[in-house]
Amino acid sequence: MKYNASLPDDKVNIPKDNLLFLALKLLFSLAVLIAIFYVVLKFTLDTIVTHLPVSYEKKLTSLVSFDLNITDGRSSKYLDEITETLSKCASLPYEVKTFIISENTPNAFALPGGIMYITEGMLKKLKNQNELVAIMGHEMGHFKNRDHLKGFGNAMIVSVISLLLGEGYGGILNASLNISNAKFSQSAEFESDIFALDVMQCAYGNVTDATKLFARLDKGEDWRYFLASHPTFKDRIDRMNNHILEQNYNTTDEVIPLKKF
Amino acid sequence: MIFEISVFLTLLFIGYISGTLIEKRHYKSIREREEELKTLPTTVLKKPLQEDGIKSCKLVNGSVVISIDYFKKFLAMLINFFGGNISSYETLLDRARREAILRLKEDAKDASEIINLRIETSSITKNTMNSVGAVEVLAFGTAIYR
Amino acid sequence: MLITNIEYIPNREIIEHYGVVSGSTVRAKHVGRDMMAGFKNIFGGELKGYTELLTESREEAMERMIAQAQSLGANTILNVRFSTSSVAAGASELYVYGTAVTIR
Repeated sequence: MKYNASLPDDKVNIPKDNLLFLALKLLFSLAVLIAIFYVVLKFTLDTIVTHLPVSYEKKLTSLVSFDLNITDGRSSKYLDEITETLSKCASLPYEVKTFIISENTPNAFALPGGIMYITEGMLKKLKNQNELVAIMGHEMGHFKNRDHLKGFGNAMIVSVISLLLGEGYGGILNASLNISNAKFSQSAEFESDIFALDVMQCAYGNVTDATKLFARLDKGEDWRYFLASHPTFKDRIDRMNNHILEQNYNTTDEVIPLKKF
Repeated sequence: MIFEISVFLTLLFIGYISGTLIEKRHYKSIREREEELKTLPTTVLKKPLQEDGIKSCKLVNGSVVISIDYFKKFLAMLINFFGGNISSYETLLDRARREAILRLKEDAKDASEIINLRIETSSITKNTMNSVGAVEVLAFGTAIYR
Repeated sequence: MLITNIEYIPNREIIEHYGVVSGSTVRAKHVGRDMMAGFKNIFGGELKGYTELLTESREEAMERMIAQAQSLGANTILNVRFSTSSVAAGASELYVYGTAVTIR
């Protein structure tokens, strides 16, 4: 047997396409798939949520434990009056009750099921009734839009996606969970601001000074707010002013002074 | 979060660049040595090419462990999701096989031929994720000396 | 001790055979043990430490096989084969086996 010393074609066992292009192509396809899945699920969940009765909302929140143990809330007739006036225009899915808590940080928040809290710190910062109405209208917006349930649904969707993809994508999905929560949360805040303006115009006939409180609280935040739960005050004020101009809301009426809480 | 994402992207980039460079260099070396050693006949047959004049025979082997890089691993994960040919590992195994055979030939430089070439491949898995960390190829055969 | 992976020795005669002899070692193949390998997993390239480790294990397994053959009185091992299989928890067994014979 004669031996013929020659080498075979060595390219048959290695890939012909550039791996980088392949990686980009696959990433793109995966991203598109996830986006479609997310949008479809979100649309379905949002539709379900808006038609979910209040009893379910209360039951769900009792399942997801709450570490806010607020026991010293007091009610105020003044706040109850405003709540009632606003509720007439708001057509809320359920009744809302407002309480004051003795916390010094200025804050106002809405808990699922129709309970609104305003801190003493916030009340001290208010200059007139219009600002108070704007705050309360904003929190009512969260109730109207069922934001708590929607946020819960949003987190659920991202968890489902990360489960389906399996491990190895863990870090990236943790990141996207946080980003998507932040985005959802910020857009909910914008929506609530708009709702506050609508309901204030409807109930009191004007939106004078509605944005003044934000302007005072604005300390000039920056891009780091990308991942924050609230948008920057500046953006919120801008959007509110745009809405006021679009809707031609009344900003010239006299402001109403605050009464006793 | 931004920190995690940028760490991931940096590792991916480093993996791609260094993996490609090391692979290119390795293939260059492989091709050169294959050209050098192509005069040494190597078969998978059980008998030598010529039965006469054989002085002695010896078991020879060559082995190598080649590691994956970050980019290839990530690409393999993506392909795993959609299915199909995991093309990112193909060069890994090709290099490892050819390198093992070259080392076997180098181990038996003075032989007149190598017969009964066999190849064993095994994977070395990474602790945390059960994904391939590296692949080991062992090539062994009998060197015939005349 | 003559070792080969073909079934005969050219120009020699087999006068006695003793059956299968083997040697094995079990090594843990955890990349987590080797820090360099951890880095290499990002860059790619050869894991020289691992190559040496596995070569040593193989040589040890071969030594054990040779010892078995010697204890039987053989002077050659034919048709040697290697086998690697994974046993529990990321450990692999390196197994070398062949037929021990006496040749003339």
